[in-house]
Amino acid sequence: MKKIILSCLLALVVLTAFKLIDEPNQLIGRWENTRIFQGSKISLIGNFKADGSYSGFINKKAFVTGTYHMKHDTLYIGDNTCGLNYTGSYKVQFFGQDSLRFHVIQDTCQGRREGTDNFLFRKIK
Amino acid sequence: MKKLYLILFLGGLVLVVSQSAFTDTGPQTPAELGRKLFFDPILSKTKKISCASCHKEEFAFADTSAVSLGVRNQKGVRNTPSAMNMKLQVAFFWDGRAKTLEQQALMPIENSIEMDLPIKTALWRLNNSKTYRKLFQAIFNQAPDQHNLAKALAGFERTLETSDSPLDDWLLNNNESAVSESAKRGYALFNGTKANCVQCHFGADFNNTEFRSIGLYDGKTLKDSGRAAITKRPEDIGKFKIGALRNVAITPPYMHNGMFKTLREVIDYYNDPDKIVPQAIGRDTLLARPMNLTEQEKTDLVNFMEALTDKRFAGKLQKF
Repeated sequence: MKKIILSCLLALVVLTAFKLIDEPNQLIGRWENTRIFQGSKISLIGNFKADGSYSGFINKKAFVTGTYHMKHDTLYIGDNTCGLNYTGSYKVQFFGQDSLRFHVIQDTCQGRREGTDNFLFRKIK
Repeated sequence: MKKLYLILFLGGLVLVVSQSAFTDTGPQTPAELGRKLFFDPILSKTKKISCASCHKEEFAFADTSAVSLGVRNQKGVRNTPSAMNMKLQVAFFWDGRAKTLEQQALMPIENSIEMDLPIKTALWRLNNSKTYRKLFQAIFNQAPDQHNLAKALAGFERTLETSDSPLDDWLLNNNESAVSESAKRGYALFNGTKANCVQCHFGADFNNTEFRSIGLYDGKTLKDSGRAAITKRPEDIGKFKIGALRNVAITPPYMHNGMFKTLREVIDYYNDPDKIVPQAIGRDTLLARPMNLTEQEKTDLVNFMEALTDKRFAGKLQKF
């Protein structure tokens, strides 16, 4: 009996330990996509911070700041440009640790969707 | 004999170095040619005004007068906008009458108040200039014409991008000390629901592509119909292109007519437009109610806008 209780306690401790370890947020950092706009090359960068805020940059010019959170492989993202309290959602497909692709799940914000959906972003230092 | 060789060698070296040091290679690309043309009064009727006379480099290629003076000291009718950060724009001039930078580039040359020079005459002058004929030939493989003139000027303007402001540094490089706490609060206000500036001023240059009426048309003292003069649509009366905000702190005065001398005056206007233009026609509903900003919040917004000044112009900030 003692053995069973001890085993259960041990299992509980192990499970709790796993529960307490947050999934690492792979999205934290700066990610860049380059594309052609009106005949010239432009750079789009997203800087996702550990505090749940993010900023977007076109040609290194800041143009948007908002909030985000990740749940498993789904990104929930919002900013006032796209509507107060509105959150778009994207599946984030990571390729190793240095590149990713966003796939829209739901986002009525056309500008954000067109800027991110299905584009490959590479991690920058 | 050895000494003679050494002297001859050193003399030759000095000659070669000094020759290469003083050789002016001149413009080699359309944009470099555009820069030369931008600063050259050859494109004005009196040969006294250049593009740079109104778009002053030291003030982010804008002017610090409410309206600029054109040929024969004629007063313009609208405030000179900055010629910087044009690369991502899709409409030009306060009323958006040009759809491309190439179209825009030629309009002030022909405008009778600004440079007052028919394009035909401008091209005649360039074709009769040994220097320009040679440069156009070398760069475009063509004699100066309307298209390559526009291409050169527009190409130069496209190089005038600024992306090194304290705000960019803070947000891109996570440099928390790049901007003051007040500027950070100002940015939050700008994006938040109280001031909500971001509804119109969004995008890489903080303007957007729309035309809006902020209420500076009343048909009595404020009579510039703006966009409506181009589209002929009554609903466009009093609408103007949303002003870009990069480097805005060094380009006073403000608005299409330069009626506000400082950014603080601009904020005071947006805070309660009725106090300044009580009988506005067609003012955007976003400005229907006073913002009720505190004095500290107004200061925070001004500090945020100052943080949009590219580092190359940092020294200009203290003047205003």
